[in-house]
Amino acid sequence: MESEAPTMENNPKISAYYQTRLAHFGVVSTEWLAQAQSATNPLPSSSTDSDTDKDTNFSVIDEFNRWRSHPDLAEAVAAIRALAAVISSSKASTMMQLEIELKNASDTLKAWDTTSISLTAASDLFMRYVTRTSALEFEEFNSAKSRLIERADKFGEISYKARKIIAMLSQDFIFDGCTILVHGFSRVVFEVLKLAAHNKKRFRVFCTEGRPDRTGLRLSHELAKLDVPVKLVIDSAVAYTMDEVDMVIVGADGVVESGGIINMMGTYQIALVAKSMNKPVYVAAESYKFARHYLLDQKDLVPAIRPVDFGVPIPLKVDVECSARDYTPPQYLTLLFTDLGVLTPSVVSDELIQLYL
Amino acid sequence: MVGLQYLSGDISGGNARCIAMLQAFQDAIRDYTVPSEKTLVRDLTAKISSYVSFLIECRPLSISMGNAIRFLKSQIAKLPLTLSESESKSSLQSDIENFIYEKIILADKAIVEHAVTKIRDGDVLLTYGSSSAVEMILLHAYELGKQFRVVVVDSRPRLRGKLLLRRLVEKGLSCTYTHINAVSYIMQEVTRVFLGASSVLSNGTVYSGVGTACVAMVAHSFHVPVIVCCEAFKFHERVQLDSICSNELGDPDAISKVSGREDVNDLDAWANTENLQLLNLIYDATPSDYVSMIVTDYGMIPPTSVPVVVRKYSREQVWI
Repeated sequence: MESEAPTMENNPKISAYYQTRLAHFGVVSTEWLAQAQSATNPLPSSSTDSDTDKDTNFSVIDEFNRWRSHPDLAEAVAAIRALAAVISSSKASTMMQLEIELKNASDTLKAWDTTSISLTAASDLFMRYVTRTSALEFEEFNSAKSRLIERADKFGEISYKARKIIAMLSQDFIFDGCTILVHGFSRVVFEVLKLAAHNKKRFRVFCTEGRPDRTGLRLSHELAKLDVPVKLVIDSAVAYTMDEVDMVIVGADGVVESGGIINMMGTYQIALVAKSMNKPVYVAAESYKFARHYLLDQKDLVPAIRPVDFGVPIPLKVDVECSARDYTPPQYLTLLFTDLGVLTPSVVSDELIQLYL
Repeated sequence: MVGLQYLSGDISGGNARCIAMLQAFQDAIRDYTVPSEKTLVRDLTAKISSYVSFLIECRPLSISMGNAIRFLKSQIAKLPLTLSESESKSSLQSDIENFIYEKIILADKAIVEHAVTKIRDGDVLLTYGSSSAVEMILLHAYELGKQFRVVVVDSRPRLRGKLLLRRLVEKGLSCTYTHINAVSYIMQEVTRVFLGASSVLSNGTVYSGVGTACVAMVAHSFHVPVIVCCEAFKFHERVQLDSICSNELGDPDAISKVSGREDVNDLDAWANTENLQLLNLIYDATPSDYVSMIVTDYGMIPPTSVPVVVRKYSREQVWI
């Protein structure tokens, strides 16, 4: 599963992003594994491009896979590191060439999984951040290149440390004796809870099962190791337990321009219930997940397909909703914890405008 | 002459009025000669101000026109004193030309590009009144081959939707035409609402033809997304909380008479009746909660980001 190649087929392909997450965190059934095995293709003998291009292509995905194999590293950060590596290993001799190489590498990475929002967003932000220096055109190429590498590494560092910053910022919101509801397994949220436990705060966590990945089981396991009182609830029991909950904390796969978030299926439901019972919903997301999409409703989202295992064989005539994620509009979110600070959902667009315009 | 055209209502619609006004100013500058004892800058500014007051007499300025005039005055003020008269005049004329091209024509193209991505096959789109930006979006989407139908909502007394309807039907779009009374009935079938705007204020309030607020509120209660299309030069730093302050009054006789129905004349003697007043407002303000998204030449933004665009926009103008 590590050697995923950019698949070019037209039939609904299984979202590679979720495959990875499953590989790292989930409870996997044997049928699913068999299905996944048949879905992977051998690495294509890619291109009709020239030799140097082929080398770069190959090494970007390689580099990306190398970084990605570490379960703690976010996929987008792996992409950023891989792109930074492209710059330092590039054989280009002019600025234009370097930018073209970067663009190609970034497109290759995006093509690896077209449904992953954070991957696209992070690559775009990286390109903007790195190539935004206006003095670049006038400087001599090698010093410009080293400056680019510096900026790229800095961006990589910021993204890597983002989780720690978010964890620190969110500590004020967790008070003694509070009950937190979390959904699925977000590494950022786990970091937040880990730091709170470390700071000897007394709180308890309600963890949704998170079907179909059942990643909630893994999270509850991790939290139990930290001696945090955990209660597992099935997804349908969220409204039932919402009375006792003080706040909801979720992660995000992507944050869109309207201020809403794209996250694992079920987040929208939880946000709706929380809003109707006046419970705050906090989102912990790194700033590289801010994407330039503007979503108006659920159907605007490109679906990421994920096979659902019901445990029993389903007759062919029965259709299954297998989208893996949903969109939560900004009016149901209270605050976003990001490495840029604690923000309201409307600030996302301001940040994007300042960066892109 | 342009003033008389405004008065009679021949030119209506925010962009058309603005372009006509700027072109009239271009002609005025071309025919202008500096009197001997005065400087070009001050005299021309005074002349422009007198033209503007004449235009205001004919019909109060719209916000976009105000922005355009401010731009023109700042360009005149920035003219270096060393330029000769003919050079100043030609530089001003080319500035106006650029303004029209960049801020209106190119902006409309960018808006159409962005907005068309939000139209999907099978959509039912609702629009109110007649907005040049919305018309361009609908026609472009039709040319791209998208399958959708349009509901045009109209209201008295100006019935501007009829012109839009005629132009759309000529191109072959399938349209439904209805009056604003029926908007809550028709809203059940609608998937998206596209509205034009005369201006967008700093707190995200959309200032547009009277009736727009109604349509937006009904759409919001039916959970239909409301998309407002507005060029960036129409944004304004003013903040307005209701529709009454700084609105424009239209002709009250237009409400009392129904054209083509002479028998409806109960209100003919309204001027004589002491406790009756007819109020014909031209604009109304839609609060930002009812607007899902604003499409400008800068891209798609939520209504809360309007001050950021206003700030960036005025910064751009300073460098020009």
